Amino acid sequence: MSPRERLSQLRHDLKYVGMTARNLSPHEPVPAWAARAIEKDIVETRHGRSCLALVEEAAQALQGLPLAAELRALVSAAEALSCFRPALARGEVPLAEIVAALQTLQQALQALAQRLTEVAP
Amino acid sequence: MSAPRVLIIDDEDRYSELCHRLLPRYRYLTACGQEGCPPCVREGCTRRHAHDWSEARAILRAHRGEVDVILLDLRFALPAARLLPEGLPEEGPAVEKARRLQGIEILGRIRRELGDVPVILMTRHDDIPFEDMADALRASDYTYLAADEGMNLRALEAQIDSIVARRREAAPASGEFFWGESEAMAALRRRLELLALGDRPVLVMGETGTGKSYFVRKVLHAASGRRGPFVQLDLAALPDTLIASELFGTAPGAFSGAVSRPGAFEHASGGTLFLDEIGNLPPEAQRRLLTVLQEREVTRLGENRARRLDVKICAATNAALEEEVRRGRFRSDLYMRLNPAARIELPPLRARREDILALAESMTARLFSEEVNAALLARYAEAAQLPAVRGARLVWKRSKGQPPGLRFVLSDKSANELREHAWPGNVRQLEMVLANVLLLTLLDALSGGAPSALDRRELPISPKALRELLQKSELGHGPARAEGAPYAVSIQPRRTLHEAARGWEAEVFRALYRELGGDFAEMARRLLGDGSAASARRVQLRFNQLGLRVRGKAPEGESA
Repeated sequence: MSPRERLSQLRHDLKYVGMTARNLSPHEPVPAWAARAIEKDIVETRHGRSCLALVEEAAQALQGLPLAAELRALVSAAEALSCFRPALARGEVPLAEIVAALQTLQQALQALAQRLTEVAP
Repeated sequence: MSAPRVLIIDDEDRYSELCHRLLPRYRYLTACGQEGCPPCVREGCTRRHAHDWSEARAILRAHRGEVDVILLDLRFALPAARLLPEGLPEEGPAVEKARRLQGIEILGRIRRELGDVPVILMTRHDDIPFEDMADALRASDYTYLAADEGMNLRALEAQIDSIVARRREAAPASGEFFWGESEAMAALRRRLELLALGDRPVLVMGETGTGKSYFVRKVLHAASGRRGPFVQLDLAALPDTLIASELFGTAPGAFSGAVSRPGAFEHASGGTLFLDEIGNLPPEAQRRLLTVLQEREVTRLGENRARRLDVKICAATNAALEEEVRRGRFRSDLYMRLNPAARIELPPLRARREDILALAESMTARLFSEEVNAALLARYAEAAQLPAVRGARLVWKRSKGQPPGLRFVLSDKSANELREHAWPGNVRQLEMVLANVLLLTLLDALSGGAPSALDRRELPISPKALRELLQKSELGHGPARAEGAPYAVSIQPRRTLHEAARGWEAEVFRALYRELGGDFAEMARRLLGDGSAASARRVQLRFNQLGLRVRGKAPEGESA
């Protein structure tokens, strides 16, 4: 899988992470099934590995390219998201914070994809 | 309005699960054998949607004609063996392309096999290969939701609702038919699309009063997609000597006094011809009809020129047509031409008891939506000092919410009685009994009986009156009303509630006039609870408006 395809796949997978969160009402208690689903999306993803592990794997594949700043931002955003794992495991869902962290991660991915087009067209 | 029925075709489970969880008001069609959302979110059911075309096709065949919207993913990460077109190598660029555009392939199959069922094509990817899609999509009708929109379930919900609303508006005629929730009607609905399309004849059978004529006019003709007229010929109402000329038309000289005149087949060109009571067709007309069905041509009586036909033919009977064939009264070859294997059998009301209360509710709403009947409600609202009352509803203990308008309340016992009754006269009998009892309840309230209730928007239906009407509806007209006995109103089909009410009111006035010897003050006291001169004048004025005239001591005029 090329680096660009890998990034595209990652962005697609991350959509699932956020879909549940974004479709819940911020003014109502988060149902238990939704907490479990969000936790599963962050901890397992569709590939059985955590979101952070997938991001680290993608970063590893791109290490030889001049993308250090973008890769750091990406890994940092994925780490921020993984910080919610303990709370989610307890059944607590800080919905707004999770959505914000997801947006940051998506933006980091998009910036990396854009830069990748410039350095490896 | 029933919940929109949605079929999801997606290789991944997650989207389907979110739709089930977050958009629970839709009914999701599945392959698990249990229709509807609730059973499929229950433990043990993992088939919440179709994962590929073969599963989708199985669901669509099981629920033919029931799908309101299909949600179709564009990209499918499936093994090559489950992708369309079949016969792809295990891996390679062709397989990748097939995965990216699998939704387009499935869309094409849907269009070929199911016609114009609405499809929402969606993707969760941003890199859509539009250049690959252009040709495939040009010929197909679909709604496209890009990644952001498709992932936002509120946007998706708005799209589904808009599509369903447009579709239901476009077919108002079939929407008027009450389908209900019974399995018998669901099975019929599944077959409807198959039977309605094309030019094969459709044979509709069912007991008297099951609504065969209404079904053909409102549902079958509407579902056939034909733009031509709907023409109905009741063969039981025509003398044998006229049937052939009415059906096939005449040429000058066909018989004494015959003129050039098209028949029902020609009138129905491009549309539907409904032959009611086909069992009554005389032998000579049977022979001619057989020729028409075989050749798809009609020849007027007294003419040699055949005219091409484009008519959907529907025939109905409440007779056992096979028995008529066995006795030699109906041609077996004509019977076979009427496509008996695919006939529609409208179930009797007793076979769909679960629908009876909902059907009665629908009839009540329809009855009082007519302008003339709404005027009666307005009169009641005025008498009960209520603000304007819009429409009326039938409610019983298990009805949900408090519907607006006037509420006719059925006791538990009466609701059970309606459900458990044998209904030999089927839907027609239910409609007549219901109209009678609603009218009696309303008129009783209008004459000062009921508005003492706490909520004047609720009129309790008398269980006794309902029971009596049920008995009378089967035994026919009873003996003349005894002195002091309650009035019974007979409503004939096609007679409006307003007309029936006016007739009943005239009967009450006439009886009171006779009983009280023409004393309008006493009549006013009985009818309005006030015997003043002003009330007596109002009663006399109404007496005259009803067309009753004073002649000696016996009034004459219109009768009930």
